[in-house]
Amino acid sequence: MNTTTTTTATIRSAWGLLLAVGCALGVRGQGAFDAEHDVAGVRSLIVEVPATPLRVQGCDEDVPESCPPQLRYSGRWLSTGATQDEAERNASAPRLVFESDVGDDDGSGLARLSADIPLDVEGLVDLELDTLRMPGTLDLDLRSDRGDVEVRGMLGVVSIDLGIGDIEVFGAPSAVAARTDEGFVHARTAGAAVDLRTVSGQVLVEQTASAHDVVVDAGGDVAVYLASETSVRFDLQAGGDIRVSTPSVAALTRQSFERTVGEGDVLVEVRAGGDVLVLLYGDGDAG
Amino acid sequence: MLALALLSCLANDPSGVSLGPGAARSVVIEDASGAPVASVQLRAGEATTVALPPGRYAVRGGPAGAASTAFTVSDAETTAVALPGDNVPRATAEPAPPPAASDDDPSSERPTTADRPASEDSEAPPSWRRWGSPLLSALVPGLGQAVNRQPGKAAGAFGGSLGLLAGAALVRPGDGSGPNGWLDPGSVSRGDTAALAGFGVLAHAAVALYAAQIMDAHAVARGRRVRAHRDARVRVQVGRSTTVAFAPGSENVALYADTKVAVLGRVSRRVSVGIADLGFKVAAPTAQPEVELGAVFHGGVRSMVRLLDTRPRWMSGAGGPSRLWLLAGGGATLHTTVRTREQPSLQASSQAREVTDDQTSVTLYALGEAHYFLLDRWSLALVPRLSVPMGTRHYAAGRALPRYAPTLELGLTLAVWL
Repeated sequence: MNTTTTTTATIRSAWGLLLAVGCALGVRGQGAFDAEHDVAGVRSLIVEVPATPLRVQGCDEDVPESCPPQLRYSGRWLSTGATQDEAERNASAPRLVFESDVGDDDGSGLARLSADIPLDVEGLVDLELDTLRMPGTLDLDLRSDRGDVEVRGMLGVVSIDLGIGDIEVFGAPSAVAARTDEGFVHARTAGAAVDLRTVSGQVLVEQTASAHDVVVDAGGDVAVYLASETSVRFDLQAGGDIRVSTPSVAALTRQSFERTVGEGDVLVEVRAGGDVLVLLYGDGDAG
Repeated sequence: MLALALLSCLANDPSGVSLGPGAARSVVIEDASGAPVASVQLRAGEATTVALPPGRYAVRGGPAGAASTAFTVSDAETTAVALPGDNVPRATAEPAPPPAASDDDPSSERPTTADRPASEDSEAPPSWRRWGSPLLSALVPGLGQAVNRQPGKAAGAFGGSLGLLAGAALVRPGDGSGPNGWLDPGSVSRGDTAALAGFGVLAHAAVALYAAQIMDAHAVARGRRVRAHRDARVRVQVGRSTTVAFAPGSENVALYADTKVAVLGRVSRRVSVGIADLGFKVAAPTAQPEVELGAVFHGGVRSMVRLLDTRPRWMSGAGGPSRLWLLAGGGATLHTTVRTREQPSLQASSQAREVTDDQTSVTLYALGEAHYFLLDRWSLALVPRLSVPMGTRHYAAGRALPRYAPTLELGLTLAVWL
């Protein structure tokens, strides 16, 4: 990993606060980094990072020029310090660590990217990651406390566990499981079963091709755009209105709605604190 | 909890005098210097209790030329006094010559008319109000004042509390995602600097007003003026200090808050030393999802000098005791941060292992305290403090101040003087 440290000195004197609630004087700094890791043999990657906005871009192995088959990323550690030297020192203390069990006797093709923040700079540094690029065939397990997450181009299973922030998943992963305590969740996929949960927020599901199970639990409104309705079992519960408008089903009700179309092979199960809207993809706004 | 603590102490302050029962008459209570401190209308056959601070007094009244009766009021006791002509044997009345003023006797401090509560000029308030009115004020700000028949003050306490809370809620900055809700300023992690400062000031003012109006309700119900307890040997205080400081990331600031307890003992008339800044806080850093637990423990030593506890002569003309005390001092605080992380293993056959880190650092500081006594033994203080951490100083929710960063904190402290 190459780490270069640059420092921006933003002195916040805030003298006006001296008579209000006090203030502390210091300087900001940042340490930039970029790295790449070989992920040959890796089947599943765990990304466990501190609060940061995060964009994951899966690369198509059939088009190698689009991006190399490695895990590649860049970003910076933002820091504070009493002096410029202190801020630089703090920015260079934490690091992202990549480890994998590839080559181990009992290895299962698991790799992990995580942060190592020494205790003496805990609270003094913030991570700011740029786009994380990796082969799209990997299964991705992403965990973070805070920050909006956007995932594109992944073909494996995508699992996201977030404290606070919006989640957006685009592409054709085999399955999507996403959870956030507070934030908007949006999955626009072709042929993925989705399990989306947000304690406080809205959910939008768009199936662009091939209907699969949809399980949603949201504190706010939920909108589902199905790829097809030939064999669907609806199990909808809402705190507000429920509106289903497909060629086979037209319903406007409140609180609860259950209906099976065809064999009912595809489950659409929604628990929403607000309204629920179910349409066919291509109808309404989402299409 | 604050209200309960206050009330439990307020209930134990019954010093005063019980006059009668006897004939209906009007009597005057004089202090050691002969100055009248209360005029009381006695009812026939009923004992009347008048709250008084400890000291020597005389009660004069009845037929013209009647002798006065001297008595002594002890701390936390009600002294029963029989008046001349009542012919009822009482325990502690002491026929004596009129008391003489003494420069050394704190009770010789002559109260002015302006200092005395209005209730002293009439019949003493019912004794239940001593605990009832502060209790009501604890439940609803201003209600105790209303019971004490002070409608203006009641409206001020109620309206002021509402206004301060509403103001704090309005200016509260950040994204509202703090783990402890908006009542904890420490949970505000991001936001506009001015809004953070405003929130800190308004929240502190709301707490100060709440505590002050509870104590005021008791003081008024007690029916005598407040005199700071100058002979206190120990003081216990609990306080909260805050500072607005920059946080890592672009243009981010945060509110850094500490709640702490101090116990200081008097070693000379003006100097006190003791342990201070005792407290702990959960500091689970939210930045690292694998961190299971983080905590900060702090405590240290402090020395304070009482600089001013009397009215300056230029203020009062003759000096005298003051309810406003100014103190200055300094100390050192030890901060120990403990962090436990779970490091999962990539090998399926291996278990995750826990890794515990700890860090200890010292913060040096100088501070001032401006105490205002709301009761004889209770004061609220504004506490500006300038500190320099010699190592990273951790706060709740994973925030920290860097070492060597000069920090001005402003705090609010409630102290009891024992």
